[in-house]
Amino acid sequence: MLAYIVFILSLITIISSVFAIIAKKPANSIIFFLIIFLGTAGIFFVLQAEYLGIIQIIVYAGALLVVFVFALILVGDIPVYKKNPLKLQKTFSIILVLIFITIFWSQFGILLFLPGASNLIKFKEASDISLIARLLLKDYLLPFELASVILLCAIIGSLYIARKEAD
Amino acid sequence: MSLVCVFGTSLLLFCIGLIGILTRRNIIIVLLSIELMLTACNISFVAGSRLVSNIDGEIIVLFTIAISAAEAALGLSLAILWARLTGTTDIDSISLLRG
Repeated sequence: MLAYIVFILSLITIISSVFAIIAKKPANSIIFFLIIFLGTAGIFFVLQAEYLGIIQIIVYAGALLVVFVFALILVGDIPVYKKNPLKLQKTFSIILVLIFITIFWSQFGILLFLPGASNLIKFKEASDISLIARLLLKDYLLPFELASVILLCAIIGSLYIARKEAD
Repeated sequence: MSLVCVFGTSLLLFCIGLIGILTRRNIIIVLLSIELMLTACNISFVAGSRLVSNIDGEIIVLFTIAISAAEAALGLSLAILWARLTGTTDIDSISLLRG
């Protein structure tokens, strides 16, 4: 049952990501990205990472896409240049991606045949929020504080970059 | 079969994001493709932490989400500044440092 749900969510996510890349208008692409992030949150829920699923919905689908929509409003729907100065751009990118898939499979494909990769075992009895909180405030305390400092620097830096030169 | 399906989804999403970065020319779509690649990495981390029955991968996903939010804010502010200066969001117009 869970395998079918994972398969359907993966299919929805991959198809909508393809449509998001080939969409002409940026607004349509943002809508497809909303479907991608919700499908990813569904995969997280099936994999019993409930806290990460909720964080995915709040941060990505809630906050980040709204920021992108505001940037799209501020920038405006400007068409790009007519002629592409780079010839054979799509061909070379697809060749590069095929090389990447080959390297990935030759290096990490053996990991997929470990015992436990074939079925979804229930390894946590209750919710994982208490475990995450204990790890985050005990073992990962220094990266947690560093992440808060990085977010503060990002807020100040983006406000400084995007300000108007009025004074 | 299920975790193999999840890992395959992660790999395909990463490759589609890479194609989006390499071929699209609107700078906002390029930034969204970077977010797509980070999301693929998050899926892989969660499936890996499920594979080895360890919860450390989910902590790493939390830090990845924080860093991706910071990166999106800085990239979008740079895109807005560039669009205000030059009037376009084409990524081929950012070639001032080309020799």
